[in-house]
Amino acid sequence: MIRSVKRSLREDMNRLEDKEQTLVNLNPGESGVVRGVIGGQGVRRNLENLGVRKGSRIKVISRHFKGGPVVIRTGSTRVAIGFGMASKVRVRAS
Amino acid sequence: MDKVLLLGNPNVGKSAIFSRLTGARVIASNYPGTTVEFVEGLLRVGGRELEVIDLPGTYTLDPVSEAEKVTSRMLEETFSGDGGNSSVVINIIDSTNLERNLNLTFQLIEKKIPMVIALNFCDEARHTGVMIDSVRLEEITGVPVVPTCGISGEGIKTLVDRLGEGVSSGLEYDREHRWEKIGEVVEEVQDLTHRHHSLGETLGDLSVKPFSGIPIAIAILLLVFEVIRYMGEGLIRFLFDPLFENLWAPLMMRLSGLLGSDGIIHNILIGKLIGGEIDFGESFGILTTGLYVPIAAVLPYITAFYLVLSILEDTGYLPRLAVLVDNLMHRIGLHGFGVIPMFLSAGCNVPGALATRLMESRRERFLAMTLMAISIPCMAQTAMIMGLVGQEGVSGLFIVFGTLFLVGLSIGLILNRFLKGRAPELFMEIPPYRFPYWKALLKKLWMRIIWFLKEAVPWVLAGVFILNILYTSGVISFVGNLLRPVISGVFGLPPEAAGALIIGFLRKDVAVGMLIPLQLSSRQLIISSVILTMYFPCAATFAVMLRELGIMDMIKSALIMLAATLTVGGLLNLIL
Repeated sequence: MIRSVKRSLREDMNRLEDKEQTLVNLNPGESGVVRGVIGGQGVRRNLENLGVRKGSRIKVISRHFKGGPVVIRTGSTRVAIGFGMASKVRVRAS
Repeated sequence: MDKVLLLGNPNVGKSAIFSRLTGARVIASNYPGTTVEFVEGLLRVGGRELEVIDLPGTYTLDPVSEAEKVTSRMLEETFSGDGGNSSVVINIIDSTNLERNLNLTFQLIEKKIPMVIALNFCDEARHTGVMIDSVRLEEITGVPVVPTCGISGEGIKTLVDRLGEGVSSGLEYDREHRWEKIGEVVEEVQDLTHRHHSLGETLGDLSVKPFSGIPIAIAILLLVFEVIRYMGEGLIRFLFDPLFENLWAPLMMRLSGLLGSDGIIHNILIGKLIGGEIDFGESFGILTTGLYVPIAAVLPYITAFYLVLSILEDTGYLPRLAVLVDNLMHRIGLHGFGVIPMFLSAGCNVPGALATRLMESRRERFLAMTLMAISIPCMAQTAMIMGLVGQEGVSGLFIVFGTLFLVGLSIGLILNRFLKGRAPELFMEIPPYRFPYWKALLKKLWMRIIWFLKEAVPWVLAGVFILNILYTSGVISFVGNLLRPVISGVFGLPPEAAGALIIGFLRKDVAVGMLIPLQLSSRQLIISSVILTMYFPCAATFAVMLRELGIMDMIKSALIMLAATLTVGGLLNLIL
């Protein structure tokens, strides 16, 4: 029990050191690389269709007030993603 | 007949290419049993006629949404037959977005669909530093690849010439790794050079950032309102009024004389003469007011509205508006995209209500339809309110539309609190700003005007006819007396206003017109305009809502409308 908590803590620490975040943690103007999508097949498929998938380079264009959508650029496509969905996209800031 | 299907992602310039390919005769129709609309036209090549079909834009052939289901089904219907069929797909690709667009192309390849690829926006791609080797892409896929620019017409002729070469691609790869394969292909055919942000991009990004976007949105909406008002008023003053006064009125006066200036037939066709003359606002005959209202009073505003709407659609502004209002819309239980049905319903509630089908949940559709029926007057009604209340100055208009806005907002907040569930999330592409292709724009405007004339004129004529019968038979004064406690007591209006409420069920614009002969004070005009908007949808909207919501939800929705009308009408009567 304690060991598993320790392990998950360590993973969290690694993630923090790795600067791994989700889309909603990035500020407008910051870029990053998508590490993956937390969530089901449906969400992943939808994001893929608009060019957001593991390995995509993204840049945050704008973020709206508390709980509002995040607008990102990937390639030359701009995509608006609702807050909840955006918080499922794991990214590494660069 | 052999078909040419235009297929591509949303916002790849399909409709501009469609306009280039086809002549003037185009028909918009719904796929049977759905609201998914597609447009058909004819293309003549070398003595042959081909049917060109512009399919709704789609990112994938996986049938996720209704539009994609329709697309898949139409592909199947067209290509499942035997060999004798030489139908072909034109897969239109946005060259500035090659990788994402190829996802759909590769799905077509997997389905062995014969096609030609159009690399559209080739000029825009060049400007933004994207070079695509179309010859190499043709070698890899084995299907003809033509760089095109729908707006300037570049490449369209080549595209038509090479339609006959459309084949299904022989490209083989592991379908599980489609994206990897796409990546390889892109790597091979695309060359990116460094580039600076273009002005359009900067502007595009400014209009989705909250601090710059909200002022821009307010400015655009005010501009839209002013343009519609000026254009509508101008068309009425300088075109339609002179036409009706100088050409139609003398003709009708002669007819009136032939009919003996009185009698039932005279009253139905011409209506009452006011001071021995025809008054197109007050006479209320089928051939006078019945024609004047839809054509001279409403059509000018409808034309202006749909022109502005088409420009907002084709330049790519609407998705940005959706992002900006997403937060607010969530408060009233909708998501940002809900602004589009709402905007549409400001033209006419019927397409607005139909557009709610794009929404995922039943809850959202119920909310959106109830809110639009209560608080959004259609352009026909708005035109009449502007004419009537606007006479007394702009402040009355502010009160009418401000009240309706606040009512919609409060009901939305309340319903969102008490209905179970919550709105799904916003997720959509934001296309770059583009100059609209004027020919495609005018074509769309024309189809919308024709649609309005077909839908509205018969209803108005029927409304005026029924009204005359109801008046002559005394039904209106009977109902008026019955409703007197409410109409006079609560709303402070004369009992004859009951007639307007009855006719409002047929056409709201005619109903507002019926207030003209009542000589109401300006506060009475304001109150009656507000309650006429809120109390119940017009028959056409009602029919759509009933079909979409079912009886139980329609009853709920109607009760909300009536309760809101009584409250708001009563309050206005006390406050004003």
